[in-house]
Amino acid sequence: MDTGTLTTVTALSKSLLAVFLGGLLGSTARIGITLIAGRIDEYWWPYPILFVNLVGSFALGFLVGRGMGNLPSWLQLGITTGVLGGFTTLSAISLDVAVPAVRYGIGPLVVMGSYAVGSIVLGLVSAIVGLRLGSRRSEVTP
Amino acid sequence: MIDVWWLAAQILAGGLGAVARFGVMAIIRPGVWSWGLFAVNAAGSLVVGAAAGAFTVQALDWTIVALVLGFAAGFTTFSTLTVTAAQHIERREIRTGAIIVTAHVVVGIALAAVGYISTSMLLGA
Repeated sequence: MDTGTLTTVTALSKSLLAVFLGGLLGSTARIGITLIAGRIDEYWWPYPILFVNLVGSFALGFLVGRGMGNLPSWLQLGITTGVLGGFTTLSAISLDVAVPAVRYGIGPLVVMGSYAVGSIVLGLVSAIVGLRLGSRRSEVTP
Repeated sequence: MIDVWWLAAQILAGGLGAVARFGVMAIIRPGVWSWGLFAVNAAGSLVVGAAAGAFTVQALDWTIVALVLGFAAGFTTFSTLTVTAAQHIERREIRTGAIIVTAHVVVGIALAAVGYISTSMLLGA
């Protein structure tokens, strides 16, 4: 292996490890939040996942707006693709809407569908607020 | 009482899910429509639906189902989706942003339903 290939392989394995460790961290935080919410009360409404997705959207928006050029690329990947990618989730929304709809019909589809619509709208708002706040701060400290 | 090993297995599944997403998104090159992200969210939704369907007809143990859900939760992502769409909206490409986010969620729900119906019908007694 020539040095160029070796450098690429090293960079790739560093990125993979960072994404894996970040994914562990993000998953831990998400599972922790759902467990804490489950302890507080027996929810039927998936607000812990909504909370996770809104916080994650804001945080990723902020980091993208702020720019992470000063960090090494493996660390950027670890934080964005790893931590925040693993923290937020779409499959939980899909499942929470699809299963009640298939089992119980149109009523639950409307109720859980509005949860999905709410997740989209509030998630977009969180991401936009994050992007704007992030880019504003970078103008103050160039 | 929460089993520590059980939690660790779910967290590990989430970490592996993140690595798998990184792999898929590196292979499927990003364009305007971010097909890599779409593939990830669609596949993850189909798989959780299938696992839940298999569970309701008792074809799959809850332990396995929870690991699949943990993997898929780490595999699929919401923040990349909202930020990608938000960037379009900030560039005044409002329609593109709206289409991206709606397509992911609607297709995700539909595929979860397809997966659920398929396994519960095929594996049900």
